[in-house]
Amino acid sequence: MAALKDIKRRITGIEDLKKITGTMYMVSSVRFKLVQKKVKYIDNLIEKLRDIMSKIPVKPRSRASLPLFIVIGSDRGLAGGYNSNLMDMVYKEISEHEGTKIISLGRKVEKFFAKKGIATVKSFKDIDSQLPPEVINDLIREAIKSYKDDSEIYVAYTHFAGVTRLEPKIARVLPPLPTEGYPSGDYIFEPSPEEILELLMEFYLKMSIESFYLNSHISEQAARMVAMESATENADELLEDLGALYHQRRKDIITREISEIVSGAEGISL
Amino acid sequence: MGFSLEIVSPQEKYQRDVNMVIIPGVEGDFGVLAGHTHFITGVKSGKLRVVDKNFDAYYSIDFGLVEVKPHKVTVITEKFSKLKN
Repeated sequence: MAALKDIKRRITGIEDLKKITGTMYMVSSVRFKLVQKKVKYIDNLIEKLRDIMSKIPVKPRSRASLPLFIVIGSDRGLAGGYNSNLMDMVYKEISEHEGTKIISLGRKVEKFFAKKGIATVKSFKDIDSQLPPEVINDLIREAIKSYKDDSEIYVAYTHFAGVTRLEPKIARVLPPLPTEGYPSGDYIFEPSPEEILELLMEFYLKMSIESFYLNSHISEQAARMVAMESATENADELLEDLGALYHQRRKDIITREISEIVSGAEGISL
Repeated sequence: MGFSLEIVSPQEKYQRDVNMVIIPGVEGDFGVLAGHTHFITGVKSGKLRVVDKNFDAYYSIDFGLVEVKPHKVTVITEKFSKLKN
């Protein structure tokens, strides 16, 4: 039987944990609100941009070239299945194309590939809510280089469709996917389609990467909010149970002591 | 007869029915009226002019691209802002 002191110690421990999970929830919800508006605008932009880009006719890439994957995860854990859901999807995909070139964003992603023994071309970590310009430029450079080497460029990220609807996705960025129902033959391009793509490549990649990163970042905050909320609820339940147990034990001890005193007193009076 | 003009940036969105727009394209400035043919080109940073009945305004815009359809023009740019006349 656990001693009264042990139960008390557990209660204090859980109360401390609850304070931590509660604070983490608050931090995530503040960060979430900070980027919420940005995500809305950039999602609207990227939808239109991809729609237009997909009308520019481009030659398909050679099947022989290995694709480049840019994988966007987080630095920190404690966000439910946020990283693992994405990594499961990516791992399945790249297992089919051995030798895929990978660029990782986030400590968790880097660790995952290291553990699986998969080499990455580049790794970025310690990134906050905004991608620093040098990281964006580096990513753009790598993507353009691979594209010119005839590779397709993919980005694996978590699409934010609502706090409880986080969707891990693998999006092909280059060449842009053609949309149905827009025969590009109807369009006039100035300069030529190839030159437009060349001209807009940096702009398009920059907007795409920023949008994917923001989506991943807000999804991470949402995942952590949900995880921390349920951790706090669990802590509450545990505290209730332990509190009841503590009082029960205390009552038992007092009852036992009283009955000992009473029986002792009876013994004397006899 | 007018058409719908939309300017989109990562920070904001602007939409308005207009009669004419003059865009600083990479191959030179060009004007668009309703019924223009399908057309895609790059936009260089410069001044974009929006004209409507009793309305004539200039916007400074950054590099980007534009898609022209007979009844809709979409400009996508990194940044844009209204210029004081």
